[in-house]
Amino acid sequence: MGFHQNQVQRLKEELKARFVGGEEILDTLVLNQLHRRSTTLIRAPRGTGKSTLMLLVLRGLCGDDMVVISGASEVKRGEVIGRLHIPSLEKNGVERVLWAAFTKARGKGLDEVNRLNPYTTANIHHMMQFGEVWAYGQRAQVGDYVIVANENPMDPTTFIHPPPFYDRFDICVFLRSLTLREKFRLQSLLEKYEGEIVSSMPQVISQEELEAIRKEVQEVELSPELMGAINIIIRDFQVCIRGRDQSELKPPALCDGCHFTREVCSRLKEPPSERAVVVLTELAKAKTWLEGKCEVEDLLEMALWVLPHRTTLVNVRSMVGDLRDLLNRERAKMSEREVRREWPILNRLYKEFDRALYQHAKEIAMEDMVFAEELRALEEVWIQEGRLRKDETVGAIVDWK
Amino acid sequence: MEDRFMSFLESEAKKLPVKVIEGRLSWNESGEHEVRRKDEAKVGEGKVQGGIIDRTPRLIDVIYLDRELSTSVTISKAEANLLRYHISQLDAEIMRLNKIKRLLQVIVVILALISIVSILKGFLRF
Repeated sequence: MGFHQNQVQRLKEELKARFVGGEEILDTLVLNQLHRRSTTLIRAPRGTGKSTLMLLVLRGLCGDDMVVISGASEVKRGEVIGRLHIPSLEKNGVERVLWAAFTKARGKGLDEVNRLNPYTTANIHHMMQFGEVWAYGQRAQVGDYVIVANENPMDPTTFIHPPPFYDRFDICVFLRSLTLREKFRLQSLLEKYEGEIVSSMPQVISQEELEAIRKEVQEVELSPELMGAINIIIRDFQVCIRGRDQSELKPPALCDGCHFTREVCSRLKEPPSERAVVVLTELAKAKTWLEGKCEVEDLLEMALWVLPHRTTLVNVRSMVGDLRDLLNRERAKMSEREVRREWPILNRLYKEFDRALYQHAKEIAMEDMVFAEELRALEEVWIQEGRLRKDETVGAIVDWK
Repeated sequence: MEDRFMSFLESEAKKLPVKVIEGRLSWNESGEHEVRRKDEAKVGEGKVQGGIIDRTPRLIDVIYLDRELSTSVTISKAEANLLRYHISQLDAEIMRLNKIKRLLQVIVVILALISIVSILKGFLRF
């Protein structure tokens, strides 16, 4: 293990030494900090340690070079982005903007982001989207950063922020209340650090080291198998034979009488965006860089934190529990695909058209929409080449809708 | 990228190799090269020897040929139409029988009333 990997492991240990009740999310949370402009959202009920975790991560990575703005207080644009320098205007007639500490700081904390007013949210959204901020007609580029935000959506003073804003957060982790044993551990920690858990957190990784780590992670190349698994997982969560994206009718009403009602798609009102693929790729790279390998099983574990703020489910009982169920279904689906040798069969069909193999592929397509999409793309080519008649294709034989 | 997609398919093909020999599809499982099932597939005009492995049973086969039901079954448009026809016939039959049942119920009630009235009349005369 290299020097930088050791540092990241140390960061994890320092966090685990100070934080109780969310050990299962710390691994993914740390991995998410290893790519440029990382953004993390922590969702939890009040008093479960979301602000503490946010501050611990920011201190471990940025030390004192961090600014936290709070949604609980009335935040003005001048405090978040920049304000006009009045003397310059009065004396020289020049509009000079004093950029706020939040835009300059490397570590940016957003406490109770659900209570931020829509104007501040819009400015932060723009910064996350374009890497720049605007104030009084002037623009400033924002360099690499670490954003950690937290929120309790159940708070009565919640603003409903637009879904694209939440989509800008790479991952969304959930915290829970402490078990009996964990409560004892928290009491011990409070005694050990004399109630100063956050201020006792050292800066484990310097700015230059974090830059070097992020560069190394960016250069990691993933295997085609892993890239395929990432794309398949997300595609399975997106695909809908009835065109959910364009339809005004959403599941479960849209799924009435559909051939695929037992699939993952029927549980999703809104599918994840393509950003989910990008984030899962970043996490897989970070995992490979840190631990030397990343398995499909790791991807399914990490996907649990990539999807919750990007998808809307039908009949949510518990977001994490329901998503875990869907990912279990996805796990089974991936195994089925292996058993049926779907991708090797598609590979052969790409190389040459074989009628017997195509018949088998058509049967597979009736049970797998993602496979069907690819087969239908091949069918188009074969029809143009005159190898296949239109009435023989999957679409002509089976009317899924 | 198309190249990346093809590399993914290639990597899967290397991991789980399949063979097509004379139209039969096979793969090595548990160290044994086995063809689980061989079907003759009629395609287009010609008759092609098609090795169809793990073919899901058709719903009609499950019903009429007493095939074992697996986790998934395949149903074609023709089969669906056949089933729809049978279901509509059964529905019509149920409605017809319901009508007869109601008629018989009414007759039974009337007969019961007549018998009760006759018995009461007999009692009164007595």
